[in-house]
Amino acid sequence: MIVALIAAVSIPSIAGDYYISFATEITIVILLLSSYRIVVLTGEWSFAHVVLQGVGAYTAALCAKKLGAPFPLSLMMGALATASVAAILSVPLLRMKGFYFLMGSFAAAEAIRLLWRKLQFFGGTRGISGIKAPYFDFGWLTVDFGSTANFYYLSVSIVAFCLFVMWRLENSRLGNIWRALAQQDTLAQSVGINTRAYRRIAFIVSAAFAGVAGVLLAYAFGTVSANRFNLTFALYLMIWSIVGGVRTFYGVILGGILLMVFDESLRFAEEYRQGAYGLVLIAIMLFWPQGLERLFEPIAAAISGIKGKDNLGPRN
Amino acid sequence: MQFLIETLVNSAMASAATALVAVGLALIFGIMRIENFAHGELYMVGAYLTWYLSTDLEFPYWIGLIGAAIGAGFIGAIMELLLFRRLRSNPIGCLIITVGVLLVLQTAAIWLGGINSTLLVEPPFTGVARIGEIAIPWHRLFVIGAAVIIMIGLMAMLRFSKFGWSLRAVAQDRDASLLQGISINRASLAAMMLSAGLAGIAGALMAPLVRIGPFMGQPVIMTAFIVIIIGGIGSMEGAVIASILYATFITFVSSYYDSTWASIAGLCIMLLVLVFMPRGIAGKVEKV
Amino acid sequence: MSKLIKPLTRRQAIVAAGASVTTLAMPNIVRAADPTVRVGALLPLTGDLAVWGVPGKIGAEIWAARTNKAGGINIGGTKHEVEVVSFDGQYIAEKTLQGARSFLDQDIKFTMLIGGDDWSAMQDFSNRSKMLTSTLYVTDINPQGQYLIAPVESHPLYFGNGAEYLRKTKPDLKKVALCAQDDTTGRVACAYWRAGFDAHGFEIVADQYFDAATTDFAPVVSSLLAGKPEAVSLDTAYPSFALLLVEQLFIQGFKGVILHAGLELLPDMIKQTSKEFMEGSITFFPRFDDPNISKFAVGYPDPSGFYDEYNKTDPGSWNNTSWEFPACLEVWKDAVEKAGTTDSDALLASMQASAPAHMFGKAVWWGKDLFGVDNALVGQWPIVVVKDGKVDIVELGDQAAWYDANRDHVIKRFEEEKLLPHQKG
Repeated sequence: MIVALIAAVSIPSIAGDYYISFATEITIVILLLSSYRIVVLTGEWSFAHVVLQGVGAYTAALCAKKLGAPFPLSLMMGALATASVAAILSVPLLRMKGFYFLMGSFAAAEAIRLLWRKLQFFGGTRGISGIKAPYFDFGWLTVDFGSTANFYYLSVSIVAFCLFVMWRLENSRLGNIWRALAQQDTLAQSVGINTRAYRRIAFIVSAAFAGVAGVLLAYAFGTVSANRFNLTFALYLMIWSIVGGVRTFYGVILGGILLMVFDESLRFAEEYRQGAYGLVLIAIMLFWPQGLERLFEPIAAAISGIKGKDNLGPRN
Repeated sequence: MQFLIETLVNSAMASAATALVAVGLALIFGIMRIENFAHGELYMVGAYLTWYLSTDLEFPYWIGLIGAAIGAGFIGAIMELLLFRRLRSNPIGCLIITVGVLLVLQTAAIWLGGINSTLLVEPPFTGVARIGEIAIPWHRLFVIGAAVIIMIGLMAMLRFSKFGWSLRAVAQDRDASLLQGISINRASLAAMMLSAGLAGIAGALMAPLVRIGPFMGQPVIMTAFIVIIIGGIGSMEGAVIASILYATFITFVSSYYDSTWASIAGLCIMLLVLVFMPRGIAGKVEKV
Repeated sequence: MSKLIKPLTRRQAIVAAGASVTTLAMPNIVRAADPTVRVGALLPLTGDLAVWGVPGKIGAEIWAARTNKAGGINIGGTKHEVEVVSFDGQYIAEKTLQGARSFLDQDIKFTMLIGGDDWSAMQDFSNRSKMLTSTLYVTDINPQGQYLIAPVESHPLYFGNGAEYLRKTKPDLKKVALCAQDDTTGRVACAYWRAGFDAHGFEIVADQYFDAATTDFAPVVSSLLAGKPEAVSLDTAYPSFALLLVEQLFIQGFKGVILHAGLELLPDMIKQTSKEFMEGSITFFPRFDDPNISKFAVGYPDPSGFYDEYNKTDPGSWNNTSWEFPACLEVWKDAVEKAGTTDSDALLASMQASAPAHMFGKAVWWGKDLFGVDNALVGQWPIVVVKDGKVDIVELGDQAAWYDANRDHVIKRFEEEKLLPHQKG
């Protein structure tokens, strides 16, 4: 964990702007994936998560452009708005399970996304651009987060904080109930757990963090447009989690980092890049269908063994 | 009045095009519980093969049509034998695999045909049928007719042949059909070939009407997914009925009002169906 | 196969090999001593819009090779070779911004975009890092984008002259209809055509946007033709959409004039319809095998030679972006040689002081009134008409003059679409 943080912090000192910006994108994806995993914990796969991130991004963009809100306010508004949208969506969606939930989440998400494209309030097809990077002026200290490296540090700290909160949640009573839901819905129900209420909490909490990821995305790139949140990205989110593995906290993170770096390293192949990516996906699913986390489990177990704690080990 | 009739004809065309793709998707979902995201790309393969055989090699269109069905069916068989069979109990893994196949097939199309391809396929029936002021190309009428015949043939086969009976048995209850001595592997292979072959035929039929390109499967698959939900997951009859209803609805709303609002309304209908009629128009109860 | 191997030899291959750190750590001095100057093509190379990006990239590379063969670029007395670096921006704002960052790392002196969605994320970064950038969408120009220029294409300004030409040649024509896909490209084009139609007394009988995911254009065309228009504008539908729309117009018995900026797929359109059907269509992009091309494209060295070489390199992929990006480079080269530097500020100042040569002759820096800043190189633009299955330049239209005469109509129609500078989100 600490090693990872140190590695993350040192990126700007060795890499150019491009790689820092790419690293920022990865941190945002890590937050998105980890929050996605909360829904997955309860046994559901969702296509709506990317659009929920979009709700955060659009909220931040509107706050910044229309109200001139400072970054911390946008951040809070983004998380709140996303959680509220998720609360509303949960009413129809949580009546479904499994494949029905997956397709229901797709319908709801795609309808929201098309509304963004259609309504001028959300900037229409063009989206909203010109979101100024945060700028803090404390008199004695001014920090301009428009610099790629500074924004990277900002997003690393926010993401690290969010990951910590999620990790605590997962290891609390709430987290255990979520897991129980995935395995034995009826059993959980019979011991007096209101399953739908707990699934709803998971959906809303996960959305709030997705909203934070959206706010970061909006500020990192200064622009928000509906195309960024289409089905392709929702599929990629699912792919990253499955390739990494969803049973452990670090699995999805691993999947996200590895596949994004791999995709990026294929840039030289230009228009043929996607095909190579597809082949790798097929190979991974054939040979490591449980996700890449399996490969790293011995290492993780060794580390947690040394520490004498079972933070990272498999639970199911 | 003329506009109304034109819109009705357009709806029939859209219904046929949607049903041709959706029915294969419903088949594969019903039997294998796999959401085949590469189904749109099998449709694309069908269109490319038709172009290759009928335009590039200058065979008659019919050879192209048959070639498309065989070629796409062959890819379907490969997908089942090499990929899905190894991941039988892992539907999410299969989903990822289908995305992988989708990317590979798209890239192959870019590689072979170029990204900027304008591939034209000459329809078997050229010319236009004129009824009063309204002009309908013969090929469109041919596609509508072909779709009707294919749908009826498919339904008849599923209902009255032994092969169809075993497919339906697997779709309804896997465990029970296993006990009946039906081989899941054989049923899956047959279903996959049939479904992919149908996608290939759809691609061949639509090839003279749409733009043939590496990404042509994308909008088609979205519609098909919506339709199989409304129809009732896994039900082919439902998929056909839903194709007609959905395509007609979308065509009318976009002709008289706006196409984006039409799509939004279509998605909302899908959501309502999921909430209030999860079995869809004709689907059966999903075993949880 | 050869296509795949070529890019492997380039810098990105090093990244793939995992040697990225070494490349980045390479001191800038080494690069400065290099007698090459790098320009960047930040275009969509994958996805749907690769249709524009890939030919643009190939065109730019051929331009560079031809320029180097002809002696390179003279910067302050020293000859420099020019090298094109490309990055797949996927026409997604974030990816484009990342591409811009990678260009900064690679010391790229001039960046070319398609414009529209890809510019929106880059503006702030381009200001900060003084990255001189060109767009093909004149509507991207705005006072906050200090380093953005529109040096070649002035879409949608030429539509005004198009409407004027239509009125001149068809004095009795009344009813017109327009449609485009629902995106920035489509909306900007429709707004300008509407202004043109207003200005010259046409009546708009149908006006609609269709979804970019549309596959069957029969319904779109049925609604277009319901009001019996005598001319139909398809601007600016993507080339493949335009082909399907034209085919439907033909099938549904349309008998009037077709208006479309590029008519990129004209040969296919003729195949699907007929030579007679396409006759008289008005478009705005000349073909490069037009015997008169060098007479009109005075700012472009040896256009037909370039065209031939392109078709040898990558047969079949030629479209308008194939020459537009080279034309951007040509403007930049002209400015760089005049100013004797590639420094963005000095170059901009020198360009503003004396406008570089434009593709189609004399041009001025323009845009203050409509976009808030004079960063578009606007001058003459050809009006091209389909004659006997080929496009011929019929005249050059003065775009700024048309605008000055019909300003109020444009402002009104732009306001409706929320395209004016103060309305942009």
